[in-house]
Amino acid sequence: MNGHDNGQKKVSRRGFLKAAAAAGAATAAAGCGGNGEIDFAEFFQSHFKEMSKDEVRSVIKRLEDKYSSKYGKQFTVKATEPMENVLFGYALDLSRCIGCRRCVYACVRENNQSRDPQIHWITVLRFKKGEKWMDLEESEKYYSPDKVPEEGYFYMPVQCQQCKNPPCTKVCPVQATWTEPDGMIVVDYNWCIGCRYCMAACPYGARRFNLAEPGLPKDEANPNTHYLGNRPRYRGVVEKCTFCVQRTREGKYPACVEICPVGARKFGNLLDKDSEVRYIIEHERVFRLKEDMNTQPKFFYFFSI
Amino acid sequence: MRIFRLGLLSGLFLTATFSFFAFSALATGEETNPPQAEEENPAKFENEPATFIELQDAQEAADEEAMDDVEEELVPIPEKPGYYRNPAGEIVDDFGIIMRLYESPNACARCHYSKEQYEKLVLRWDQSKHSKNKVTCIKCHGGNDKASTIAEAKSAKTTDFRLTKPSLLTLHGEELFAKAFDYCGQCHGTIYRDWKAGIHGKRTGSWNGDKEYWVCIKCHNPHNPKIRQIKPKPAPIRPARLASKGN
Repeated sequence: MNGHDNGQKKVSRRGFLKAAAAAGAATAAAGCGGNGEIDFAEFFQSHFKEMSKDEVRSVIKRLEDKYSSKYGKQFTVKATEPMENVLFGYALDLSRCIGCRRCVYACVRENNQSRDPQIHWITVLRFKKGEKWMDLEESEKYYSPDKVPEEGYFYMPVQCQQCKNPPCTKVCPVQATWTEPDGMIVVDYNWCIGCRYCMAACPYGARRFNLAEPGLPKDEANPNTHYLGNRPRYRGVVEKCTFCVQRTREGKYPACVEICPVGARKFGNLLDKDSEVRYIIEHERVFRLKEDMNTQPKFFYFFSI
Repeated sequence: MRIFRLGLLSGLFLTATFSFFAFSALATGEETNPPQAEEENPAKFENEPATFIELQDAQEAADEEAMDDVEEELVPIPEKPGYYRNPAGEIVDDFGIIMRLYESPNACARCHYSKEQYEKLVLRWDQSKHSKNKVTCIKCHGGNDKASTIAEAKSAKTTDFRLTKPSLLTLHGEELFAKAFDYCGQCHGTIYRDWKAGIHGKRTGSWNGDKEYWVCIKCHNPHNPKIRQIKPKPAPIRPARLASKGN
């Protein structure tokens, strides 16, 4: 964790700046009392991967206090570490999906997305059957019939594909987004500078940006959060699907799998040869979205009939 | 250019944060203590029916309510008082019950006759693929549909249907529902195989531990197994209208 600590006591540029700023902030805070110190700690927080366990604990404590007072209920911010020998994979049965968008709204509720302005991590696309459909520009995102599924159409939910070769993490100038050992691509919202390079790099349009202060109503906030997952975001940071890191690292299914009324969504460990996802990859004709991009997604689509 | 922008951005960010320090320290008085932790289960989503079949039933009930205002045009048949012809050309009685289903020589419905049973079971079955493929009541329920007395009807426990597990016919209610896959799997072998492997159907719980395997009848109505249409959740807001009120 603590990679840069090699025992030497040298004043780095960063350390100097920290000390200088600390002095400045202390002066500013001293006059007013209040919580200047907390904001200082937040501003000079280290990169998540470079923090020691104690530092992570103190950061989490600070965030929990902040969220709890902001949303009026006890928040838990976890930093559950990835399990050993686990690589998460996802499969989605396009023959079964009825396009009801229940996954979209379950995701919003579970992952504390902004309600106003609206942010959805999952986009459900509608395609005409029997036509050229791999061209996503032919798809319809804003379909709203009285009833689904409609005759002559099929539906394809798109979310973060958790690529093995992700373009989004490569372009991040501050390494605020990276691949975890269990295959999830996560964002440190405290480290993100909001440059949106990752959004430009992602071929799936899976990343979302908080252009305004996220509007999360107090009574709808989900207090069970993970540092890298569904904790409330700031204005000016990028967010994305994390396969519900707060749930899946505890063995639960992601919220979208739980809610899907037709059971089109499948989730499991790609390294476990008995898992559902492995069975599907071995026995069904799976494909991955935009395979020609060489992003190697861990999200597999298939038609079961 | 990009680097410049980046620099500008972080510069702004720095300034903004420092001014934020000063102002927030001024603005925030004392913080209220958060209330005690509420026991919440994020796996359950409020306002959502527990099973898909309930969701479909709720949808159907809503549809029927809307349809109640629309009177079906029934034409009286002069030579048969009390009977009518519906728009589809079928003969129906006062309740709107299609007589064809009762007049066939081997119909259980001749005795099992009530408006509720008719609408919930017979009419639903009549519209299904099971009806077209001649999978009639006794295929699953057993019994003798050519009987004239109750005792006779109950006497037969097996059918011409090649049940691999005839003992299933003695089960009732919850016991039977829990074994639905054994029932349906007798004909729908490939689906049964997929269901066991986890391709077909829904599983909830834990991806590496205890799972709940949703049995057939949690999503499919046994009397009309086709998935019914439901109302979708609202479409996302178009970017042009995304402007937030607050900011």
